[in-house]
Amino acid sequence: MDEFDIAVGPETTLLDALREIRSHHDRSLTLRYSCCHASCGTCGMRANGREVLACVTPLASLGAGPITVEPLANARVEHDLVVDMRDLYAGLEPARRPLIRQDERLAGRDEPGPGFDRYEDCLECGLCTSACPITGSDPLYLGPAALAAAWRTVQEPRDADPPQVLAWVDDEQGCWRCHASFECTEVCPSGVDPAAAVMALRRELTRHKLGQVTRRGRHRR
Amino acid sequence: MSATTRAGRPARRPLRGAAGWARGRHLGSVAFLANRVTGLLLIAYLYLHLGVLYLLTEGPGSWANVLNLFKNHWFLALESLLILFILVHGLNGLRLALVGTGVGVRHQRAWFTAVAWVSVGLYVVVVLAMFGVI
Amino acid sequence: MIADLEEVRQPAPTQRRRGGTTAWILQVVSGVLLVVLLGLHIVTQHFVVKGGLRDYAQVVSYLSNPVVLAVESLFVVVLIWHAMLGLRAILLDFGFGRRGQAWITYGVTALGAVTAAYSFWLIATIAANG
Repeated sequence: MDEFDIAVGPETTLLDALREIRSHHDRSLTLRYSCCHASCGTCGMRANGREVLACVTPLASLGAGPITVEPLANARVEHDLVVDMRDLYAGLEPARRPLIRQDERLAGRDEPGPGFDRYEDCLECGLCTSACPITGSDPLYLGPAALAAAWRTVQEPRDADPPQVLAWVDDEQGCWRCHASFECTEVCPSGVDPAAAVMALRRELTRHKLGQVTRRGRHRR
Repeated sequence: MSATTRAGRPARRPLRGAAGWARGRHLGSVAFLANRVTGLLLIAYLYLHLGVLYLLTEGPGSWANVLNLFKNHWFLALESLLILFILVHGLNGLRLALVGTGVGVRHQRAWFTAVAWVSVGLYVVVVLAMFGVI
Repeated sequence: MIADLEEVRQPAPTQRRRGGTTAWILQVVSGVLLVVLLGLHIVTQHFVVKGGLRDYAQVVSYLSNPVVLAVESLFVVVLIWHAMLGLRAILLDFGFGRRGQAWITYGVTALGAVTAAYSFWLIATIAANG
């Protein structure tokens, strides 16, 4: 682990500090960032063990004393603070989550103001996958991001096929692997609430299974 | 250039095993770990209990000997912990039965707080009853 | 980089998914039943007799009641089922893959069967001494 001592102001963000380190202390420091306003999800990392987006995390919020910065967990580290995100992206593909502008959304929570133009909530930042305790022990677990995407497809399919998506998540490595730690929801910077999405999938599948059982009972009679 | 498997897929992500289960800092993670730990302890107790009950097949003498051990205050104190584990696992289990089927997910933190308080409260009552105070 | 992403894109999965809804429903039902049955078991074993512990004669007398025998037998089955499902859930979290998952299921089923068989042998042996 490398240590750096830098001067910071009251509004310095973690990303500001890392860029300062890269510019003036260690030019080999590798990190990823892009939009600098929590829209792209590229700067995900762990600070003092907590998953954050570096661009919107004030250093002051991380407490006094030294700050330990690490790459996201449960992903292969490419170098320094950069991890291989392809597992996450590949995991999201089968969900067939439609890309919808937030003001076009048909179902869900309160809409933002009229001038706000933003795509669906999930930034694909990987914070939820990093925080999930089961993603870290089971390599086949779909994970909170993929499951949240699956629920979004079920809620608002557009051209996708919800029964196929439900069949995909109805698996011991799908939504039934979740143990309700809710860490994914706690760390999500974008209000996706992946844990609620997983529980909603389970509710749908349970309802469907109980419906099947009662239908079979009626047929036998 | 990142390492890939033969099929061009990314190399498997590093796993942290059970160590990752204790990383979480929020109430949901405390509940998850509490349920897991109490569950395993209760399974261990189940087999201990079944083993001890074997003495009943050997007649009154063997059973009377073990009853004397059970009446010891230190043993009672350990048994009272068992009651606490049962309360936490059972009450949190009811919370999970609801939340894990998509019911009342928004209230999961409040429900776990209630589980913790009710478990401790009932545990105190049971301990007082076990030691003959009430 | 684009070429890399093309390599990892997957078609919608077509392999048979193994479900998990039934295991969840069984875990919930057995858990709820246990709240009642375990509560009953603890109260009848420790809060009915004086001193809170049944001696040998009291145990034999307790098990001679057919209703008690039926309830305790149900308790044993539900408890072992719930315990084995829970143990299976924990073991599956270690990510032993699809084949490992199958072996874990066989393993806990076998363990549950042996435990239940031993428990019923215990109950039968003790009740027969009455």
